[in-house]
Amino acid sequence: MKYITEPVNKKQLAHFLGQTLITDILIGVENISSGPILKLSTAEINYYLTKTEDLKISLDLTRLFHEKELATLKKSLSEIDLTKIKFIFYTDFAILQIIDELGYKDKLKLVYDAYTYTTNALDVNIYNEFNTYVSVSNQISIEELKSLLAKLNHKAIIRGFGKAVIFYSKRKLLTNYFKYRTLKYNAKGKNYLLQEEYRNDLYHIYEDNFGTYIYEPHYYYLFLELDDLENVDYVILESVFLDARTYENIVLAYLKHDDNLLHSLHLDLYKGIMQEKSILLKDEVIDNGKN
Amino acid sequence: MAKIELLAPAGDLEKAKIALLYGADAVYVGAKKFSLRARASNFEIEDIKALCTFAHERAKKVYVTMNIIPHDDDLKDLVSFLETLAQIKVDAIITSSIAIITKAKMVAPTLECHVSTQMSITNSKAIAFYEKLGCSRVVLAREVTLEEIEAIKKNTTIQLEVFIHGGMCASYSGRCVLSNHLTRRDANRGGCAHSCRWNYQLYQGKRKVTKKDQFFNMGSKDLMAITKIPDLINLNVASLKIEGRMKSTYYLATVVRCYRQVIDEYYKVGSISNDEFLNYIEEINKAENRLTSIGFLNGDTTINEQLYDTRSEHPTKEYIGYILDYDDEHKQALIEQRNYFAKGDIVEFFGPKLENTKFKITKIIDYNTGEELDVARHPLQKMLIPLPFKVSKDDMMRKVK
Repeated sequence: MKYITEPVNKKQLAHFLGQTLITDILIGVENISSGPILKLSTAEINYYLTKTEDLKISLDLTRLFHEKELATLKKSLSEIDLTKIKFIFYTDFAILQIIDELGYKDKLKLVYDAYTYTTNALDVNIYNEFNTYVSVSNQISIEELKSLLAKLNHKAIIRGFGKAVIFYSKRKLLTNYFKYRTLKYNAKGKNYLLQEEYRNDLYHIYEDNFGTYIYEPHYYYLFLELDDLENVDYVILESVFLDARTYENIVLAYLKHDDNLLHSLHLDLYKGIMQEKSILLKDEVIDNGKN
Repeated sequence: MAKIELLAPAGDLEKAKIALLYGADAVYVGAKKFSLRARASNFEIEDIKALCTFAHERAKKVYVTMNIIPHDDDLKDLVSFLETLAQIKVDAIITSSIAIITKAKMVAPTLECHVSTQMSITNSKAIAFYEKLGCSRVVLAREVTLEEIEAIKKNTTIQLEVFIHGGMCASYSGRCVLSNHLTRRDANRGGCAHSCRWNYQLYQGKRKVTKKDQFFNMGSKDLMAITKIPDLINLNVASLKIEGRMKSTYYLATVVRCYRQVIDEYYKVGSISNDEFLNYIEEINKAENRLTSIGFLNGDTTINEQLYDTRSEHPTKEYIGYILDYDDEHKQALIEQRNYFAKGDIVEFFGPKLENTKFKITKIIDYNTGEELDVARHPLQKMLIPLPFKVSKDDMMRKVK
């Protein structure tokens, strides 16, 4: 089982590239990737690709692309030395077609990474027919995850740590809200938080050119459970909303398999959605008052 | 060029029949399994079978939604369910699971597969993927603009289905699990609690941005694309879809009939004036109880497409009676009560082939007792109302004042 890391900044990227223990690094592409992740220009990516002999760097392209963006997407991908890219994580099947058109179909390792769609073994197995790996949803319970992984006819990628996107919209919800209230909006702000009227949890809300994203309120984590999971080759350690030092310690905790180190960071850790099955709403559920 | 399809939702057999009678070319319904609106569904397999017979006799179609994003436990009985749908001659399934598509192709090849809007498909290259899987139609994401639909259409030959009316997700459909986290109700398996329509406080770091008695809102106005119907016809999309399997019979009759008239009028005359559009919008608003907008069809959403500081619902014209029959000889209608009305009320009759016709009720006679009544109080009560003009079974009566 290997860990896929997400460096918080360029300095950490350079540092991780030099670490032999770190086998995998996931970064975004400027003007193409979305969310508050490290994004580099195509020239910068090519530069960093020359800094390591190992196949280490993967691209995070996990967003939806509209028709008018396809040409830009294809152009950006054609500018990157894709032969030195390890994986491309994607959620829009346009990527699959474009990689094919660029002549990389059999040379590139694609990872289908649509966290809300990879919730059962049958779907994951079929998605895998078109990809090197499929990233299994982190929005199912641990029991469901174990059961799902055991039924796979290939190895998978899972998320081990981070704050998952739980809402992905094309709407510029912050821009529009501030405009409606005639308030000044700091478009570069990463620290906007939502709190539901009757609840205490705080949810990060983030907007970029491609839309608005809301994140889980706490950091989910799988740690000791990882030992019991079958068919997992890679575990993603997400870094959104973390500073570089904290994130490095998290990576270290996983590499050293040191649960104590992880807990010593005093992060808001939880198992949350993974502890209980979400409800498929049926009449009997309501009637029994369980909802 | 095939005439564009008007596709309507239905939560039960009665609604489905009404939608077809009022002008839908096809209806989509959910069974009690595999459907996002499982809670709303009253469709047993026998009902779907009866609906298929009813629809096919009228050269219309029935699609069954299998649009949950399943967990392992949800896929039990998938094969037998698909085989049954094929046996009862369902025309297509609408699905968001590649597993369901693949199984359907294997065990029920007569079923067409339509890719649900739950997959949020926004470009022609993603469409090409599903076309290779054997899908015959893609329901486009509601985030796609008219300009993008035109561009997509140029790059694909597969049928495109576009939403024209009804509820809008604030997020890309299928990409939201907000409800799961706030209520443990799975948005992608029929449990959406519409958490995007709730009130939130907004903070920047520790500083509260929302002022006292104000909230951050992200809910969307519903879609009403009636003015874009000519554009969509010109773009040669295959199907225009109305959302709302939870909606009432009256809502369906009103909305479906309006879109039917707009489509037919445009095919017949080649244009629809602004005044005519205003009349159609006024007609829809008699049943529409939520604020509406054009959604993404003109481009990215602005504050005009969002809901702020308001409850989204407003009262509609009341649906008060359903016409069971008309006696030509005595010039009176047999009406089943749907809501309270009284002698002296001004009402409006409408139907699949009946122009809106206003009338003041002068007499109400209880059908069973023959007794003359001042008011119709009881739901489903049958009564006779003298009417100087002909109405037909399945026409409806609503209160004007």
